[in-house]
Amino acid sequence: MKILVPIKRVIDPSFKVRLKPDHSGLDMAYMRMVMNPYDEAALEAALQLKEQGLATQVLTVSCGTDDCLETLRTALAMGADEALLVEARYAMSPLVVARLLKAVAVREGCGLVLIGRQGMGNDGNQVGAMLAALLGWPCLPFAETLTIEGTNVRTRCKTDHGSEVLEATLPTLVVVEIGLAAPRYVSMPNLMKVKKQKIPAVAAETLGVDMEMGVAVVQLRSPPERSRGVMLPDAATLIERLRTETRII
Amino acid sequence: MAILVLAEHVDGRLEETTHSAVTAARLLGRDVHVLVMACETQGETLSQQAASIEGVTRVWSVAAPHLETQLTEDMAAQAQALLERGGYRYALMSSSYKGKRVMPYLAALRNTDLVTDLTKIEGEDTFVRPVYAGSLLVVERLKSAVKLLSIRASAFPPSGSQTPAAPIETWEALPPRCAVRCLERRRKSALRPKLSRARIVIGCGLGVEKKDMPDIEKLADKLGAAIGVTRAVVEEGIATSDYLLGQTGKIIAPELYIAIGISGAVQHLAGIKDSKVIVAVNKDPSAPIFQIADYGIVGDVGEIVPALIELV
Repeated sequence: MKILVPIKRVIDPSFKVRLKPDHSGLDMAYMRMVMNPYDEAALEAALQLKEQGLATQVLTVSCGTDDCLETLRTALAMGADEALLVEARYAMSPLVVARLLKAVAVREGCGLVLIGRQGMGNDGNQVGAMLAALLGWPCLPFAETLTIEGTNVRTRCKTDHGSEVLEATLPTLVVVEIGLAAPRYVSMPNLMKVKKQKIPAVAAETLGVDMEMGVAVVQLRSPPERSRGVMLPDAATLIERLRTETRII
Repeated sequence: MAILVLAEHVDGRLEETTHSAVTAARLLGRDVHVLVMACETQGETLSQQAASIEGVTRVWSVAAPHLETQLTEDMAAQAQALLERGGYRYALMSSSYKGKRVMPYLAALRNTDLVTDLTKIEGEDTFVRPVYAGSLLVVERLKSAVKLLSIRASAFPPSGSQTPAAPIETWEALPPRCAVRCLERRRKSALRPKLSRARIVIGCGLGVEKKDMPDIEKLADKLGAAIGVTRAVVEEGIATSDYLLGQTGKIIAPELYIAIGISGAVQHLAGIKDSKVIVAVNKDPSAPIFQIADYGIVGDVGEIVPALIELV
Protein backbone atom coordinates (compact mmCIF):
# COMPACT_ATOMS: atom_id res chain seq x y z
CA MET A 1 0.00 0.00 0.00
CA LYS A 2 1.19 3.48 -0.85
CA ILE A 3 0.60 6.24 1.71
CA LEU A 4 0.17 9.82 0.54
CA VAL A 5 1.39 12.54 2.92
CA PRO A 6 0.69 16.09 1.73
CA ILE A 7 3.30 18.52 3.05
CA LYS A 8 2.82 22.25 3.47
CA ARG A 9 5.69 24.68 3.69
CA VAL A 10 4.93 27.26 6.37
CA ILE A 11 6.58 30.10 8.24
CA ASP A 12 8.32 28.76 11.34
CA PRO A 13 5.53 29.04 13.95
CA SER A 14 7.97 30.45 16.51
CA PHE A 15 8.48 33.56 14.35
CA LYS A 16 6.26 36.58 14.88
CA VAL A 17 4.65 37.51 11.57
CA ARG A 18 4.27 41.16 10.58
CA LEU A 19 2.80 43.11 7.69
CA LYS A 20 4.93 45.10 5.26
CA PRO A 21 4.67 48.82 6.08
CA ASP A 22 2.38 49.34 3.03
CA HIS A 23 0.15 46.40 4.14
CA SER A 24 0.57 44.74 0.72
CA GLY A 25 1.59 41.41 2.20
CA LEU A 26 3.65 39.64 4.84
CA ASP A 27 7.08 40.96 5.64
CA MET A 28 9.11 37.88 4.75
CA ALA A 29 12.50 39.36 5.67
CA TYR A 30 14.22 37.23 8.34
CA MET A 31 11.45 34.60 8.22
CA ARG A 32 12.41 30.95 8.28
CA MET A 33 10.33 28.37 6.42
CA VAL A 34 9.73 24.87 7.82
CA MET A 35 7.60 21.79 7.24
CA ASN A 36 4.16 22.29 8.78
CA PRO A 37 4.43 20.61 12.23
CA TYR A 38 1.09 18.78 11.75
CA ASP A 39 2.32 17.34 8.44
CA GLU A 40 5.59 16.40 10.12
CA ALA A 41 3.57 14.29 12.59
CA ALA A 42 1.64 12.75 9.67
CA LEU A 43 4.87 11.89 7.86
CA GLU A 44 6.37 10.34 10.99
CA ALA A 45 3.24 8.20 11.46
CA ALA A 46 3.45 7.09 7.80
CA LEU A 47 7.12 6.16 8.18
CA GLN A 48 6.32 4.13 11.30
CA LEU A 49 3.57 2.24 9.43
CA LYS A 50 6.06 1.42 6.69
CA GLU A 51 8.61 0.25 9.26
CA GLN A 52 5.94 -2.03 10.76
CA GLY A 53 5.47 -3.57 7.31
CA LEU A 54 1.96 -2.10 6.96
CA ALA A 55 2.83 0.05 3.96
CA THR A 56 5.25 -0.29 1.08
CA GLN A 57 5.73 3.30 -0.06
CA VAL A 58 5.47 6.77 1.46
CA LEU A 59 4.85 9.51 -1.10
CA THR A 60 5.06 13.14 -0.02
CA VAL A 61 3.58 15.91 -2.14
CA SER A 62 3.60 19.70 -1.92
CA CYS A 63 1.56 22.19 -3.93
CA GLY A 64 3.27 25.51 -4.58
CA THR A 65 6.39 27.16 -5.99
CA ASP A 66 9.75 25.41 -6.31
CA ASP A 67 10.65 26.80 -2.85
CA CYS A 68 8.74 23.73 -1.64
CA LEU A 69 11.53 21.51 -2.97
CA GLU A 70 13.55 22.30 0.15
CA THR A 71 10.73 21.07 2.39
CA LEU A 72 10.21 17.97 0.26
CA ARG A 73 13.92 17.27 0.52
CA THR A 74 13.58 17.33 4.33
CA ALA A 75 10.77 14.78 3.93
CA LEU A 76 13.06 12.55 1.88
CA ALA A 77 15.80 12.93 4.50
CA MET A 78 13.29 11.83 7.16
CA GLY A 79 12.72 8.66 5.16
CA ALA A 80 9.95 9.28 2.61
CA ASP A 81 10.40 7.11 -0.49
CA GLU A 82 9.20 9.65 -3.00
CA ALA A 83 8.46 13.33 -3.29
CA LEU A 84 6.39 15.19 -5.86
CA LEU A 85 5.97 18.91 -6.45
CA VAL A 86 2.69 20.11 -7.90
CA GLU A 87 3.90 23.39 -9.26
CA ALA A 88 1.78 26.51 -9.01
CA ARG A 89 2.99 30.07 -8.92
CA TYR A 90 0.25 31.54 -6.76
CA ALA A 91 -1.48 30.75 -3.48
CA MET A 92 -4.42 28.41 -4.03
CA SER A 93 -7.62 28.06 -2.07
CA PRO A 94 -8.02 24.98 0.16
CA LEU A 95 -10.56 23.45 -2.25
CA VAL A 96 -8.19 23.80 -5.23
CA VAL A 97 -5.40 22.18 -3.16
CA ALA A 98 -7.79 19.35 -2.24
CA ARG A 99 -8.66 18.85 -5.93
CA LEU A 100 -4.97 18.67 -6.85
CA LEU A 101 -4.24 16.22 -4.04
CA LYS A 102 -7.15 14.05 -5.14
CA ALA A 103 -5.70 13.91 -8.65
CA VAL A 104 -2.32 12.84 -7.22
CA ALA A 105 -3.84 10.23 -4.85
CA VAL A 106 -5.80 8.66 -7.72
CA ARG A 107 -2.94 8.81 -10.24
CA GLU A 108 -0.47 7.28 -7.78
CA GLY A 109 -2.88 4.58 -6.59
CA CYS A 110 -2.60 5.55 -2.91
CA GLY A 111 -4.60 3.56 -0.34
CA LEU A 112 -4.20 5.83 2.68
CA VAL A 113 -3.81 9.59 3.11
CA LEU A 114 -2.30 10.99 6.30
CA ILE A 115 -2.71 14.76 6.39
CA GLY A 116 -2.07 17.37 9.10
CA ARG A 117 -5.15 18.93 10.67
CA GLN A 118 -4.18 22.47 9.71
CA GLY A 119 -1.43 24.42 8.06
CA MET A 120 0.21 26.32 10.88
CA GLY A 121 -0.27 30.01 10.14
CA ASN A 122 -3.32 29.97 7.93
CA ASP A 123 -4.98 27.65 10.47
CA GLY A 124 -7.79 26.84 8.03
CA ASN A 125 -8.55 23.23 9.03
CA GLN A 126 -10.02 22.53 5.62
CA VAL A 127 -8.00 20.45 3.15
CA GLY A 128 -8.17 17.09 5.00
CA ALA A 129 -11.96 16.79 5.27
CA MET A 130 -12.36 18.27 1.77
CA LEU A 131 -9.99 15.71 0.27
CA ALA A 132 -11.86 12.84 1.96
CA ALA A 133 -15.15 14.12 0.53
CA LEU A 134 -13.68 14.53 -2.97
CA LEU A 135 -12.15 11.04 -2.89
CA GLY A 136 -15.32 9.58 -1.39
CA TRP A 137 -13.16 7.96 1.29
CA PRO A 138 -13.98 7.71 5.02
CA CYS A 139 -12.61 10.63 7.03
CA LEU A 140 -11.05 9.85 10.43
CA PRO A 141 -10.63 13.33 11.89
CA PHE A 142 -8.18 14.62 14.52
CA ALA A 143 -6.42 11.31 15.12
CA GLU A 144 -4.25 11.02 18.23
CA THR A 145 -3.54 7.31 17.75
CA LEU A 146 -3.51 5.13 14.65
CA THR A 147 -3.44 1.37 14.17
CA ILE A 148 -4.02 -0.75 11.09
CA GLU A 149 -5.10 -4.40 11.19
CA GLY A 150 -5.72 -5.97 7.83
CA THR A 151 -7.84 -3.44 5.98
CA ASN A 152 -9.17 -1.83 9.17
CA VAL A 153 -7.86 1.56 10.21
CA ARG A 154 -8.57 2.48 13.80
CA THR A 155 -7.95 5.88 15.40
CA ARG A 156 -8.64 7.59 18.69
CA CYS A 157 -9.97 10.98 17.60
CA LYS A 158 -10.19 14.22 19.54
CA THR A 159 -13.70 15.60 20.03
CA ASP A 160 -15.15 18.67 21.72
CA HIS A 161 -15.75 16.71 24.92
CA GLY A 162 -12.98 14.12 24.98
CA SER A 163 -12.31 11.50 22.37
CA GLU A 164 -13.87 8.69 20.36
CA VAL A 165 -12.55 5.55 18.71
CA LEU A 166 -13.39 5.47 15.01
CA GLU A 167 -12.77 2.71 12.53
CA ALA A 168 -12.93 2.58 8.73
CA THR A 169 -11.92 0.27 5.94
CA LEU A 170 -9.13 1.15 3.53
CA PRO A 171 -8.87 3.25 1.45
CA THR A 172 -9.17 5.91 4.15
CA LEU A 173 -8.07 9.43 4.97
CA VAL A 174 -6.76 10.30 8.43
CA VAL A 175 -6.59 13.91 9.63
CA VAL A 176 -3.62 14.04 11.98
CA GLU A 177 -3.33 15.82 15.33
CA ILE A 178 0.08 17.17 16.23
CA GLY A 179 0.56 14.62 19.02
CA LEU A 180 0.07 11.52 16.83
CA ALA A 181 3.79 10.92 16.35
CA ALA A 182 6.89 12.83 17.45
CA PRO A 183 8.91 13.47 14.28
CA ARG A 184 12.34 11.89 14.08
CA TYR A 185 15.52 13.89 13.99
CA VAL A 186 16.85 14.54 10.50
CA SER A 187 20.55 13.69 10.49
CA MET A 188 23.15 15.63 8.50
CA PRO A 189 24.30 12.53 6.55
CA ASN A 190 20.69 11.86 5.51
CA LEU A 191 20.24 15.46 4.42
CA MET A 192 23.47 15.25 2.39
CA LYS A 193 22.29 12.00 0.78
CA VAL A 194 19.14 13.60 -0.65
CA LYS A 195 20.76 16.94 -1.49
CA LYS A 196 21.24 16.12 -5.15
CA GLN A 197 18.16 13.91 -5.53
CA LYS A 198 15.96 15.04 -8.39
CA ILE A 199 12.40 15.70 -7.24
CA PRO A 200 9.84 15.35 -10.03
CA ALA A 201 7.44 18.23 -10.65
CA VAL A 202 4.14 18.45 -12.48
CA ALA A 203 2.44 21.70 -13.40
CA ALA A 204 -0.83 22.07 -11.47
CA GLU A 205 -2.63 22.98 -14.71
CA THR A 206 -1.76 19.61 -16.25
CA LEU A 207 -3.60 17.56 -13.61
CA GLY A 208 -6.95 18.30 -15.21
CA VAL A 209 -8.63 19.90 -12.20
CA ASP A 210 -10.72 23.03 -11.90
CA MET A 211 -8.32 25.78 -10.72
CA GLU A 212 -11.09 28.35 -10.15
CA MET A 213 -11.00 29.71 -6.59
CA GLY A 214 -14.19 30.49 -4.70
CA VAL A 215 -12.53 32.68 -2.11
CA ALA A 216 -10.32 35.75 -2.47
CA VAL A 217 -8.16 37.57 0.03
CA VAL A 218 -9.30 41.17 0.13
CA GLN A 219 -6.92 42.53 2.71
CA LEU A 220 -4.49 41.72 5.50
CA ARG A 221 -4.75 43.72 8.69
CA SER A 222 -2.99 44.01 12.01
CA PRO A 223 -5.31 43.29 14.93
CA PRO A 224 -5.85 45.96 17.56
CA GLU A 225 -3.06 45.64 20.12
CA ARG A 226 -3.78 45.05 23.79
CA SER A 227 -2.14 47.73 25.82
CA ARG A 228 0.07 47.02 28.75
CA GLY A 229 -1.70 47.30 32.08
CA VAL A 230 -0.38 47.98 35.57
CA MET A 231 2.02 46.07 37.80
CA LEU A 232 0.74 45.38 41.30
CA PRO A 233 2.79 44.69 44.42
CA ASP A 234 0.88 41.73 45.88
CA ALA A 235 -2.09 39.36 45.83
CA ALA A 236 -4.18 41.54 48.15
CA THR A 237 -3.94 44.55 45.83
CA LEU A 238 -4.85 42.35 42.87
CA ILE A 239 -8.02 41.01 44.49
CA GLU A 240 -8.95 44.53 45.63
CA ARG A 241 -8.52 45.91 42.07
CA LEU A 242 -10.38 43.00 40.47
CA ARG A 243 -13.29 43.53 42.87
CA THR A 244 -13.55 47.28 42.46
CA GLU A 245 -12.52 47.80 38.83
CA THR A 246 -13.73 44.71 36.98
CA ARG A 247 -16.45 43.32 39.29
CA ILE A 248 -15.79 39.87 37.87
CA ILE A 249 -15.02 38.35 41.26
CA MET B 1 -33.46 33.77 1.38
CA ALA B 2 -32.69 32.03 4.64
CA ILE B 3 -29.62 31.16 6.70
CA LEU B 4 -29.08 27.60 7.86
CA VAL B 5 -27.38 26.92 11.20
CA LEU B 6 -26.17 23.38 11.88
CA ALA B 7 -26.94 22.63 15.53
CA GLU B 8 -24.40 21.03 17.86
CA HIS B 9 -25.47 19.11 20.92
CA VAL B 10 -24.21 16.77 23.61
CA ASP B 11 -26.11 14.65 26.16
CA GLY B 12 -29.46 15.85 24.89
CA ARG B 13 -28.63 19.53 25.28
CA LEU B 14 -27.85 22.06 22.59
CA GLU B 15 -24.34 23.43 22.88
CA GLU B 16 -23.91 27.13 23.54
CA THR B 17 -21.89 27.28 20.28
CA THR B 18 -25.23 26.84 18.48
CA HIS B 19 -26.60 29.96 20.22
CA SER B 20 -23.47 31.83 19.08
CA ALA B 21 -23.91 30.58 15.51
CA VAL B 22 -27.49 31.88 15.59
CA THR B 23 -26.17 35.29 16.68
CA ALA B 24 -23.83 35.30 13.67
CA ALA B 25 -26.69 34.17 11.41
CA ARG B 26 -28.86 37.05 12.62
CA LEU B 27 -26.14 39.47 11.48
CA LEU B 28 -26.53 38.01 7.98
CA GLY B 29 -30.33 38.08 7.68
CA ARG B 30 -33.69 37.71 9.36
CA ASP B 31 -34.78 34.22 8.36
CA VAL B 32 -32.70 31.87 10.52
CA HIS B 33 -33.32 28.12 10.29
CA VAL B 34 -31.65 25.56 12.53
CA LEU B 35 -30.98 22.00 11.39
CA VAL B 36 -31.05 19.53 14.29
CA MET B 37 -29.63 16.09 13.50
CA ALA B 38 -30.02 13.64 16.37
CA CYS B 39 -31.09 10.16 17.38
CA GLU B 40 -34.83 9.52 17.73
CA THR B 41 -34.92 9.76 21.53
CA GLN B 42 -33.30 13.22 21.62
CA GLY B 43 -34.55 14.80 18.39
CA GLU B 44 -37.71 16.27 19.83
CA THR B 45 -36.30 17.96 22.93
CA LEU B 46 -33.28 19.26 21.00
CA SER B 47 -35.56 20.71 18.32
CA GLN B 48 -37.64 22.42 21.01
CA GLN B 49 -34.48 23.91 22.50
CA ALA B 50 -33.43 25.17 19.05
CA ALA B 51 -36.89 26.63 18.36
CA SER B 52 -36.62 28.65 21.58
CA ILE B 53 -33.41 30.44 20.62
CA GLU B 54 -34.06 34.12 20.00
CA GLY B 55 -34.20 34.94 16.30
CA VAL B 56 -34.78 31.39 15.03
CA THR B 57 -37.65 31.28 12.52
CA ARG B 58 -37.81 27.56 11.73
CA VAL B 59 -36.28 24.31 12.96
CA TRP B 60 -35.64 21.33 10.72
CA SER B 61 -35.63 18.19 12.80
CA VAL B 62 -33.97 15.09 11.39
CA ALA B 63 -34.01 12.06 13.67
CA ALA B 64 -32.62 8.60 13.00
CA PRO B 65 -30.70 6.06 15.11
CA HIS B 66 -27.48 6.44 13.12
CA LEU B 67 -27.33 10.20 13.76
CA GLU B 68 -26.50 9.48 17.39
CA THR B 69 -22.80 9.16 16.52
CA GLN B 70 -22.75 12.49 14.61
CA LEU B 71 -20.38 11.20 11.95
CA THR B 72 -19.00 13.66 9.42
CA GLU B 73 -20.32 11.86 6.34
CA ASP B 74 -23.90 11.60 7.64
CA MET B 75 -24.11 15.18 8.92
CA ALA B 76 -22.64 16.70 5.76
CA ALA B 77 -24.87 14.65 3.46
CA GLN B 78 -27.95 15.59 5.47
CA ALA B 79 -27.10 19.30 5.38
CA GLN B 80 -26.33 19.06 1.68
CA ALA B 81 -29.77 17.54 1.02
CA LEU B 82 -31.44 20.45 2.79
CA LEU B 83 -29.32 23.06 0.97
CA GLU B 84 -30.13 21.37 -2.37
CA ARG B 85 -33.77 21.99 -1.62
CA GLY B 86 -33.01 25.67 -2.20
CA GLY B 87 -33.83 28.93 -0.49
CA TYR B 88 -30.57 29.30 1.46
CA ARG B 89 -27.86 31.93 1.09
CA TYR B 90 -25.66 30.81 3.96
CA ALA B 91 -24.94 27.70 5.98
CA LEU B 92 -22.90 27.96 9.13
CA MET B 93 -21.72 26.24 12.25
CA SER B 94 -19.20 27.00 14.99
CA SER B 95 -15.56 26.13 14.38
CA SER B 96 -15.58 23.49 17.12
CA TYR B 97 -13.96 20.11 16.42
CA LYS B 98 -17.31 19.06 14.97
CA GLY B 99 -17.52 22.17 12.79
CA LYS B 100 -13.93 21.71 11.67
CA ARG B 101 -14.74 18.32 10.18
CA VAL B 102 -18.32 18.80 8.97
CA MET B 103 -18.11 22.20 7.24
CA PRO B 104 -15.10 21.53 4.95
CA TYR B 105 -16.60 18.12 4.07
CA LEU B 106 -19.91 19.82 3.21
CA ALA B 107 -18.05 22.48 1.19
CA ALA B 108 -16.32 19.82 -0.89
CA LEU B 109 -19.65 18.02 -1.48
CA ARG B 110 -20.98 21.33 -2.80
CA ASN B 111 -17.76 22.10 -4.68
CA THR B 112 -17.39 25.50 -2.97
CA ASP B 113 -14.75 27.13 -0.83
CA LEU B 114 -15.58 28.27 2.69
CA VAL B 115 -14.32 30.68 5.34
CA THR B 116 -13.46 29.02 8.63
CA ASP B 117 -13.22 30.36 12.18
CA LEU B 118 -14.34 33.86 11.28
CA THR B 119 -14.55 36.44 14.06
CA LYS B 120 -16.29 39.29 12.22
CA ILE B 121 -18.81 39.74 9.44
CA GLU B 122 -17.94 42.81 7.37
CA GLY B 123 -20.47 42.50 4.60
CA GLU B 124 -22.73 39.96 2.93
CA ASP B 125 -19.77 38.18 1.33
CA THR B 126 -16.83 39.57 3.34
CA PHE B 127 -15.50 37.96 6.51
CA VAL B 128 -12.58 38.49 8.89
CA ARG B 129 -10.59 35.70 10.50
CA PRO B 130 -7.38 35.63 12.53
CA VAL B 131 -4.28 33.98 11.03
CA TYR B 132 -0.72 33.39 12.27
CA ALA B 133 -1.84 32.79 15.83
CA GLY B 134 -3.82 36.01 15.80
CA SER B 135 -0.82 38.14 14.77
CA LEU B 136 -2.77 39.16 11.66
CA LEU B 137 -6.33 39.33 10.44
CA VAL B 138 -7.25 38.31 6.91
CA VAL B 139 -10.33 39.68 5.18
CA GLU B 140 -11.77 37.17 2.71
CA ARG B 141 -14.56 37.35 0.13
CA LEU B 142 -16.62 34.32 -0.81
CA LYS B 143 -18.01 34.04 -4.32
CA SER B 144 -20.40 31.10 -4.13
CA ALA B 145 -24.19 31.61 -4.25
CA VAL B 146 -24.60 29.65 -1.01
CA LYS B 147 -21.85 30.78 1.35
CA LEU B 148 -20.46 28.30 3.85
CA LEU B 149 -18.92 29.61 7.05
CA SER B 150 -17.67 28.46 10.39
CA ILE B 151 -17.62 31.01 13.19
CA ARG B 152 -15.43 31.33 16.26
CA ALA B 153 -18.08 30.98 18.95
CA SER B 154 -16.25 33.15 21.48
CA ALA B 155 -16.48 36.11 19.08
CA PHE B 156 -20.30 36.04 18.98
CA PRO B 157 -22.28 36.29 22.26
CA PRO B 158 -24.87 33.49 22.50
CA SER B 159 -28.45 34.45 21.55
CA GLY B 160 -31.02 34.38 24.32
CA SER B 161 -34.43 32.72 24.29
CA GLN B 162 -37.78 33.56 22.68
CA THR B 163 -41.47 32.82 23.17
CA PRO B 164 -43.37 31.72 21.28
CA ALA B 165 -40.94 29.17 19.90
CA ALA B 166 -40.37 28.84 16.16
CA PRO B 167 -42.22 26.13 14.21
CA ILE B 168 -40.55 22.73 13.97
CA GLU B 169 -40.71 20.67 10.80
CA THR B 170 -39.42 17.18 10.36
CA TRP B 171 -37.15 16.37 7.44
CA GLU B 172 -36.46 12.91 6.19
CA ALA B 173 -33.24 11.23 7.32
CA LEU B 174 -30.97 9.91 4.60
CA PRO B 175 -29.81 6.30 4.93
CA PRO B 176 -26.58 5.92 6.96
CA ARG B 177 -23.39 6.25 4.92
CA CYS B 178 -21.64 3.55 7.00
CA ALA B 179 -18.20 4.78 5.94
CA VAL B 180 -16.95 5.16 9.50
CA ARG B 181 -17.82 3.09 12.58
CA CYS B 182 -17.80 4.67 16.03
CA LEU B 183 -16.62 2.06 18.52
CA GLU B 184 -16.29 4.06 21.71
CA ARG B 185 -16.82 7.52 23.05
CA ARG B 186 -14.99 8.85 26.07
CA ARG B 187 -15.90 12.02 27.92
CA LYS B 188 -13.39 13.72 30.09
CA SER B 189 -14.53 14.15 33.63
CA ALA B 190 -16.31 17.44 34.09
CA LEU B 191 -15.60 18.42 37.68
CA ARG B 192 -14.95 22.01 36.68
CA PRO B 193 -16.67 24.26 34.13
CA LYS B 194 -15.73 23.58 30.51
CA LEU B 195 -12.82 25.66 29.22
CA SER B 196 -14.84 27.06 26.35
CA ARG B 197 -17.69 28.20 28.60
CA ALA B 198 -16.02 29.25 31.86
CA ARG B 199 -16.30 32.90 32.95
CA ILE B 200 -12.92 32.61 34.65
CA VAL B 201 -9.98 30.54 33.42
CA ILE B 202 -6.66 29.88 35.15
CA GLY B 203 -3.82 29.13 32.76
CA CYS B 204 -0.72 27.26 33.94
CA GLY B 205 2.68 27.42 32.27
CA LEU B 206 6.03 25.86 33.04
CA GLY B 207 6.43 28.21 36.01
CA VAL B 208 3.84 26.06 37.78
CA GLU B 209 5.44 23.00 39.31
CA LYS B 210 3.65 19.75 40.01
CA LYS B 211 3.65 20.54 43.75
CA ASP B 212 1.73 23.77 43.03
CA MET B 213 -1.14 21.98 41.23
CA PRO B 214 -3.26 21.19 44.33
CA ASP B 215 -3.25 24.92 45.21
CA ILE B 216 -4.11 25.89 41.62
CA GLU B 217 -7.05 23.48 41.75
CA LYS B 218 -8.15 24.88 45.10
CA LEU B 219 -8.08 28.41 43.67
CA ALA B 220 -10.01 27.27 40.58
CA ASP B 221 -12.68 25.69 42.75
CA LYS B 222 -13.02 28.83 44.87
CA LEU B 223 -13.37 31.02 41.77
CA GLY B 224 -15.53 28.54 39.83
CA ALA B 225 -12.81 28.65 37.20
CA ALA B 226 -11.67 26.23 34.50
CA ILE B 227 -8.00 25.28 34.20
CA GLY B 228 -5.99 25.41 30.98
CA VAL B 229 -2.31 24.86 30.19
CA THR B 230 0.40 25.79 27.68
CA ARG B 231 1.93 23.39 25.15
CA ALA B 232 5.10 23.08 27.26
CA VAL B 233 3.02 21.73 30.15
CA VAL B 234 1.40 19.16 27.83
CA GLU B 235 4.83 18.14 26.56
CA GLU B 236 6.05 17.69 30.14
CA GLY B 237 3.21 15.21 30.61
CA ILE B 238 1.65 17.22 33.45
CA ALA B 239 -1.68 17.67 31.61
CA THR B 240 -3.29 16.21 28.48
CA SER B 241 -3.93 18.19 25.31
CA ASP B 242 -7.61 18.42 26.29
CA TYR B 243 -6.54 21.35 28.47
CA LEU B 244 -4.27 23.00 25.90
CA LEU B 245 -4.86 26.71 25.25
CA GLY B 246 -3.42 28.40 22.17
CA GLN B 247 -2.97 28.15 18.43
CA THR B 248 -2.87 24.34 18.48
CA GLY B 249 -5.42 23.97 21.27
CA LYS B 250 -8.50 25.79 22.45
CA ILE B 251 -9.15 29.47 21.78
CA ILE B 252 -11.11 31.13 24.56
CA ALA B 253 -12.37 34.57 25.54
CA PRO B 254 -13.43 34.43 29.21
CA GLU B 255 -14.20 37.45 31.34
CA LEU B 256 -11.07 36.85 33.39
CA TYR B 257 -7.94 34.95 32.44
CA ILE B 258 -5.30 34.40 35.13
CA ALA B 259 -1.96 33.38 33.60
CA ILE B 260 0.22 31.71 36.21
CA GLY B 261 3.86 30.93 35.45
CA ILE B 262 3.25 31.58 31.74
CA SER B 263 5.91 33.52 29.84
CA GLY B 264 3.58 34.38 26.96
CA ALA B 265 4.71 32.76 23.70
CA VAL B 266 2.78 34.03 20.68
CA GLN B 267 1.18 30.60 20.15
CA HIS B 268 -0.27 30.66 23.66
CA LEU B 269 -1.40 34.29 23.44
CA ALA B 270 -3.35 33.31 20.29
CA GLY B 271 -5.63 31.29 22.51
CA ILE B 272 -6.32 33.81 25.25
CA LYS B 273 -5.74 37.36 24.06
CA ASP B 274 -9.42 38.09 23.50
CA SER B 275 -10.11 37.57 27.22
CA LYS B 276 -11.78 40.61 28.73
CA VAL B 277 -9.33 40.98 31.62
CA ILE B 278 -5.90 39.32 31.78
CA VAL B 279 -3.95 38.84 35.01
CA ALA B 280 -0.37 37.59 34.88
CA VAL B 281 1.70 36.11 37.72
CA ASN B 282 5.31 35.37 36.85
CA LYS B 283 8.63 35.53 38.66
CA ASP B 284 10.36 36.97 35.56
CA PRO B 285 9.57 40.70 35.25
CA SER B 286 10.57 40.66 31.57
CA ALA B 287 8.09 37.89 30.62
CA PRO B 288 6.20 38.92 27.45
CA ILE B 289 2.85 38.08 29.10
CA PHE B 290 3.15 41.34 31.06
CA GLN B 291 3.02 43.26 27.75
CA ILE B 292 -0.63 42.33 27.29
CA ALA B 293 -1.79 41.78 30.88
CA ASP B 294 -4.15 44.26 32.49
CA TYR B 295 -2.75 43.41 35.92
CA GLY B 296 0.63 41.89 36.62
CA ILE B 297 2.38 40.59 39.71
CA VAL B 298 6.05 39.66 39.74
CA GLY B 299 6.54 36.92 42.26
CA ASP B 300 6.74 33.29 43.17
CA VAL B 301 3.81 31.06 42.23
CA GLY B 302 4.23 29.08 45.46
CA GLU B 303 3.60 32.25 47.51
CA ILE B 304 1.06 34.16 45.44
CA VAL B 305 -1.39 31.32 44.71
CA PRO B 306 -1.88 30.42 48.43
CA ALA B 307 -2.33 34.14 49.18
CA LEU B 308 -5.01 34.38 46.49
CA ILE B 309 -6.81 31.34 47.93
CA GLU B 310 -6.97 33.09 51.29
CA LEU B 311 -8.34 36.29 49.77
CA VAL B 312 -11.14 35.07 47.50
